[in-house]
Amino acid sequence: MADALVLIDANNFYASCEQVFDPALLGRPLVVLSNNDGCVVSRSSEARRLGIGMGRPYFQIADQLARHGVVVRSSNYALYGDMSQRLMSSLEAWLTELEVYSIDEAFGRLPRPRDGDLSAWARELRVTIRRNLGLPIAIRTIRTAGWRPHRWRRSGEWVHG
Amino acid sequence: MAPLHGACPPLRLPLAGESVAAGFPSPADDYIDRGIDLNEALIQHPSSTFFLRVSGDSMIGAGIHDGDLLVVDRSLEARPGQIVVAVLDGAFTLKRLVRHNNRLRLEAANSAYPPLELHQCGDVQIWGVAIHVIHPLGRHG
Repeated sequence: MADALVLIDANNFYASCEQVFDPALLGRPLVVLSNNDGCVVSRSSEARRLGIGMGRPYFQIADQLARHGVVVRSSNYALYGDMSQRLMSSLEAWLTELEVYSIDEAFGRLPRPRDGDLSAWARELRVTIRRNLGLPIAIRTIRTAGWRPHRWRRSGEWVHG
Repeated sequence: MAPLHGACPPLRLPLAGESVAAGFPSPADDYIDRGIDLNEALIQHPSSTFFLRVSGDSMIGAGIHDGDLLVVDRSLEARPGQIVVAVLDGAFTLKRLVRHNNRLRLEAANSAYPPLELHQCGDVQIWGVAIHVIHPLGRHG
């Protein structure tokens, strides 16, 4: 049977990395700003729910963030790079092939289970990464037939949301 | 808290004898022809191992001092008897996980700190298991 292809990405990667090392941030609205605190490049789920837009210039929304009690962090790329390296090297053990796509995304290949169901594998991987690194990840399968890279977001099928 | 860089080349230093008699090292011990790399000796799971700086004296009785460097492995399942980094009310705390009267609690190694009964605490999570402490003996340089 053909191998399964998956796309794995870390949720709210920069914000999640900040939360690993500062547990006071867990469950709180948090945004991470780009270089020189220019604009919002990562939002915790709580910040997303407040409707804080990705890429918004900080100076335009500083008042809104303060009103909602949103924690604001400058980006720490040394930390994110280290956590990315840990994530990717952890994933290697779970896949026969790994293609790192960005700091928080990777494509992977693995033998498709006999019944074709990847959900048990995906659940175990998510639990392991959450425990070992403190990072939440999402895993989705990729349909190979007619699959085009720029369309994966629509054609991707969630294995375990 | 510091990142752990996996790219460092191993530094193998020879092991002098199998043990050192506390008091006087046996002069008969020859250097044994195998090296020890500290990263290898202290870290089994590089991708899930983190360094934490200890602050406070609540674990002094376990030989963990203020300012020591702690090696913490997140991939290990915390078992009673182990020293763990826990998250309590949004803050890190270093304590020993103990089963007491069939309930789990976090105990300091310092009688000035009362034990924390887990069932009475709100939100407690085990962040990782402390596997080594690096403690400097006196000041150097």
